[in-house]
Amino acid sequence: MNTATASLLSEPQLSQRLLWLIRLRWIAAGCLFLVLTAARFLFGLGIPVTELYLGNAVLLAANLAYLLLFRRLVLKVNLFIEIQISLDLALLSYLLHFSGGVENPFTAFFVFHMVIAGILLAPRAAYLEAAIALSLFAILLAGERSGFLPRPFVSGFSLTPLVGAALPYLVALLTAVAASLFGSVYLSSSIAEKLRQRDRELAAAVSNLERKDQEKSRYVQQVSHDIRGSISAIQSCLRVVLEGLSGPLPDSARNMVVRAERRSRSLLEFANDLLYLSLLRTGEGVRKEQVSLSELFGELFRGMRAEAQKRGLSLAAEDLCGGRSILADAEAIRQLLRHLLLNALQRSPTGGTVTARAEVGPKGIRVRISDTGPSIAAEELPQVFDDFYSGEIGGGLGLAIVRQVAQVHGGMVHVESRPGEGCAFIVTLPA
Amino acid sequence: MEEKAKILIIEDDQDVIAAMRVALEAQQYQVDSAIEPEEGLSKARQGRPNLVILDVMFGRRQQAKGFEAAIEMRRDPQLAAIPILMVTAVNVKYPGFNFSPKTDGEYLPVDGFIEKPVQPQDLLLKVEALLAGKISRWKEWPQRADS
Repeated sequence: MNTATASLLSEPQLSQRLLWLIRLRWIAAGCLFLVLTAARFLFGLGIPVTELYLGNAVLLAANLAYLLLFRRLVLKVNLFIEIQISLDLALLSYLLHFSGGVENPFTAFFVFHMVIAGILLAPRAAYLEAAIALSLFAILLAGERSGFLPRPFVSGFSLTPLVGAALPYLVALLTAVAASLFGSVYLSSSIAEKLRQRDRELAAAVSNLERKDQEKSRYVQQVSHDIRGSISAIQSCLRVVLEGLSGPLPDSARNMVVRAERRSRSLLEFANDLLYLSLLRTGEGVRKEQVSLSELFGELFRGMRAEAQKRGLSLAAEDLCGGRSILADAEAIRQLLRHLLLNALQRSPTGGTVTARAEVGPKGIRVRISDTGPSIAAEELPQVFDDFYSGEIGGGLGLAIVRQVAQVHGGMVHVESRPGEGCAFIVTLPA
Repeated sequence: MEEKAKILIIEDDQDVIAAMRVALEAQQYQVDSAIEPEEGLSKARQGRPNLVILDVMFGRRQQAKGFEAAIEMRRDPQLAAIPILMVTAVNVKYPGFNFSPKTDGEYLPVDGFIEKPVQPQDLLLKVEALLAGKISRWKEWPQRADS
């Protein structure tokens, strides 16, 4: 790679800036037209109309050509920008000459081009543009001084002819222009370089953070996986004991083993949730397929109904989108619905009702699980989907899984709560 | 008395083996075990068990060696006819890894599944059913469209 372009913006950024440059040029061409027309009709200046409007037309035509070339560009974008700026400088010199000569107040417009070059191009290329501008200015100056390029007279605007002007004056003019050109390139490119540097540092910091977060998730995965394996073995052993396969068990011992088995089961569920959540967070391959919500609900309802009845709760389903399916990871959506239902059942007091509803809305499928549990204070609502919000030992990840699943599918979650009316947890998934 | 069937457990967790062994031996099955698929396959060739209980994931790196071992058994004429009961930790399904006994089971060359943590009653029921030929057994590879 060319060292002069090494510190530059990326290709897509450059392309974006190039389009910006083209937009600026449309504005410049429009302003030029207005200025020329105003000079001619408002101020009655005797400008060389043909040459100047021709320059204006060339600017418009060139810009149109740049736009068309940009779409099927074979050149590198930075080279294309360099060529455009150089041609702009040539056109500016032409316009300066025909609007009164080098000492024209519009000479200051060279500085615009230097600032643009300083922002868009690598320093070496930007200084090259300054050298081109200075050369054009010097050629114009020498031509007008020698009479080779006779300065057109613009009545009411032109200064005295330059022919025969004193050498110290010409040197001073050239020096001032050179200092302005190179000075503005230096200032703009050093500021741009500092900003780019800051950008790179920021991007590096962000990617470092993302890497660290991934590492952390992998760590959690490994730990929860190991814990899961061990609890699973504990459970397998305890169940053999509980079923009396290892010999008879006195009642007092059975009571203790039942407690240990129950506790290890909830710990296993927690480790499962932790593992699942960290797998989702490392973005490990979610596989999308057609998933039927009503089928998933049916399966989950069958599994939960007995437990709900035992606790005096009723589970109700309203219109579940019929046979409509969504493109999603089946297991992830199952986990999402399962945790929403478990959360609602857990929140509801004896005699309560949990209602599931799914409908097609403007933003996709809207799943709404409402319960008759206590309401949640408005200031706590934004936190309910945070890890460990419920504060129960060995729990509190269910709603975090709900949010994560919705996010990986490009969906949204929120909760509505009114005093005395329970809560409704709502998930919107793209259809 | 009729000699009870020989069962080989291929599983990397010694405690899970112990739990299954207690449950199976309580029903007078003869139980042997291996903690690596390679060791398991060689024990199967020597001991000719009536049934193999096979775990899916093996080792610290959790490689799905159980699938490979099942495939290898079906390719080995000596072992091809032995029923395989696969042990799966289906209580966590990985995102993007939607393997489930119900939907994908028929494409794996195994004859049945049990879940971890092991439910002794479930284990014993399935073992008995498999040995008695009450579960429809895996027969052959499905025809592939491209072959």
